[in-house]
Amino acid sequence: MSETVAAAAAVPSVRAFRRQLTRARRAHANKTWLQVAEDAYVALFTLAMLGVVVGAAIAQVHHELLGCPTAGCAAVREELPVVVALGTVGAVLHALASIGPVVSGSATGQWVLATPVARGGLLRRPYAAALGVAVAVCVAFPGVALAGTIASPATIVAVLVGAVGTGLLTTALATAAQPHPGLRRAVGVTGDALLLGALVLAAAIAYGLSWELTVDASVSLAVAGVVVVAGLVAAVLATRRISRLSRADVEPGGALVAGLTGAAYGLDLSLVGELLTARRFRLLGARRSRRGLGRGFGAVVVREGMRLARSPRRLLGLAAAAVVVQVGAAVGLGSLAVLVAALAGYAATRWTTASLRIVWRSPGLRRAFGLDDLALLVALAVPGGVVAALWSVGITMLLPGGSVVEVVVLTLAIWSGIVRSAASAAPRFDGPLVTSPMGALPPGMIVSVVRGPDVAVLGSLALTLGASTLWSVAVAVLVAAFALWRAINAVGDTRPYTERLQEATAEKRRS
Amino acid sequence: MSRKSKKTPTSLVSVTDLEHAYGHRVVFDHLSFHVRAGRCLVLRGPNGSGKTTLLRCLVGERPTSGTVTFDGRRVDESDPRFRADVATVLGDLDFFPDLTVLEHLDLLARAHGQAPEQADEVLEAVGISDVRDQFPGTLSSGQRQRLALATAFVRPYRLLVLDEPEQRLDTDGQAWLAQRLAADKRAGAAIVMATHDPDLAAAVGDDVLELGA
Repeated sequence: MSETVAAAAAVPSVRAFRRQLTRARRAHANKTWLQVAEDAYVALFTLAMLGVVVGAAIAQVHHELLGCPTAGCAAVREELPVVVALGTVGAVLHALASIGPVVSGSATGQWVLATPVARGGLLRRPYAAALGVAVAVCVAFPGVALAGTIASPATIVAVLVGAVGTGLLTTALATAAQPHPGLRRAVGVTGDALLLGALVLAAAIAYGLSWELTVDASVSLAVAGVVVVAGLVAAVLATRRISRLSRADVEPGGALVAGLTGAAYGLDLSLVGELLTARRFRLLGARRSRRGLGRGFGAVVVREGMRLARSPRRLLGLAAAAVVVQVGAAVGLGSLAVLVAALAGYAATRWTTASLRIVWRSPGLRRAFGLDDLALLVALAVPGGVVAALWSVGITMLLPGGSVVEVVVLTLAIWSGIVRSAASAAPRFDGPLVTSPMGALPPGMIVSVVRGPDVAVLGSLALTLGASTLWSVAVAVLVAAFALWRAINAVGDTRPYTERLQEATAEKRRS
Repeated sequence: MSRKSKKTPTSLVSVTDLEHAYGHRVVFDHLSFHVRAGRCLVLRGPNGSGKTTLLRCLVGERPTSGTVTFDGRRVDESDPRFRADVATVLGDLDFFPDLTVLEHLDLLARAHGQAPEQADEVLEAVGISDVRDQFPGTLSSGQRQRLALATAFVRPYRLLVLDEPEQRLDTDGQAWLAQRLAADKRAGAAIVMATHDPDLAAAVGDDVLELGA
């Protein structure tokens, strides 16, 4: 027997390799079976609690919608499932193309995928996980939206079966495209297009578009059956292609998932956005550099504006927020529409202060600018303020009875919110932790989630409550000044906990 | 490039009786020294001896006790004049994921009131002009280090504070760095640098401070 054949014969099967890996891991396990069972119980209990809370909220909304007699409510009730289905498929395609869909952790990539063990077998589990998640999402959202309608049980079954097929199809498509950057981008763009379509449709419905679509239940079921069969065939065909995925195809997605999971555990939504942005531009690789303009403060403002223009996809978020406000107005929110607009505007524009967040959390970068803190903060936040102002003008034109006061108050409230959330200090995991039902958490972690939305609400509260023009503007200005002051004071203390503790001790000793 | 001081103080940086401790562990104490314009002080010492901590104190971090002054004024990082005069590469530099290499330097050059062409010159000098249109996430670790150095060199300064600048640089890069720092000294800039590279220390250093000895 030649050496090559002997080496090939020594390669273990995927099953044997996994068994070996499991044995090794068990040997180093630091938890007993009882502890594992306890952890599983806590996880299941948390999921069940969340399910009950979310389910109750959805049931409440459905109850309200069913009892609401306005034309807006009727439109939301009947046409919403189509919008949700379209949006869900778009979001799933976008997410699959952004993440992988087949991913592996960096350790698995470096140690396991580098072995001659059959790669297809090793990647089958992550592929199955991607299929499972995509199917679950495709079923859950349209299913929930459909539950609020008066559709027949046969139609509901047909939609759910079709959703399973769609989940399988989308994942198979994204997996086939994964090793080809061009195709992968095309899948992402298709997702974006579907999301845009959903937005346009939602806006049209809010303006009174409705349709009468009557399809025989048996036809719906037949179509759903075809979709499921196509999905299954595509999923099986794509399984054959996963062995061709390279480590470079699967590792970055794994790192992204790990980062996103960490950010989600830390309730850090900005970090989620930052990770996605970093990933997008790493995939993009390079782009022709564009020269800035001006000097000093002005140069920072101009560059920040140019940076924002580099992400036109974000306009989708602005449009989505506008549609949310529009739908809210359509179902009769009344004066609460201003509050909803402030929150929606905050959510849609918070990405505009990503640079401020990066600079405020990086002492080296802040030093590199040479501007004083206030000037730097304002320079980095001006373009975000302009976006907030433009969005506010647009939304005020859409709302019935919108005025200049609304534009001013909304702009200030949204700008205060995005500045506060970008400049607030991150929760410190290196200091003392506080016990909570969710385990040990750093102080301020939960509060950090509401830093931003809180001032957006406060800034628009006076107008929402029907205060006079003077009071409404005065409150918004005061809140903006507070947000700016807090942001400036948040600067500086980026040192490790041990250092801050030492300084406090020394201070105590001196006094 | 360095900015000439209007007055020429004997010492640009003065450190007096400096002490820094983490909890009960004293990293360094009774530390006093001066750095004059056009001179380079090299910090040496084993890992954990306090080189980086000392550099941070020089650029504004509060020590446990003692004083650090720059150009006769107590070091205050919130003072824009101080920031305009002091350039640092301390390993705590992040980059904007969506700005290209050239755009980073263009932005910093303009923020410091420099001609934008400065960015191109520094790109050439640092040896990363071939990746000028790339985003930072795609750079190798050596290229990231060159970009970090470039962010300091693209602007004027009177004091340059560097923490192991030779890290991740190839042989050519290290030689270029030594030449560049020597030129900065000739132009009147003061340099304080922590390094483990004896060649770089010998080529640029005028004085050596051993920490943890």
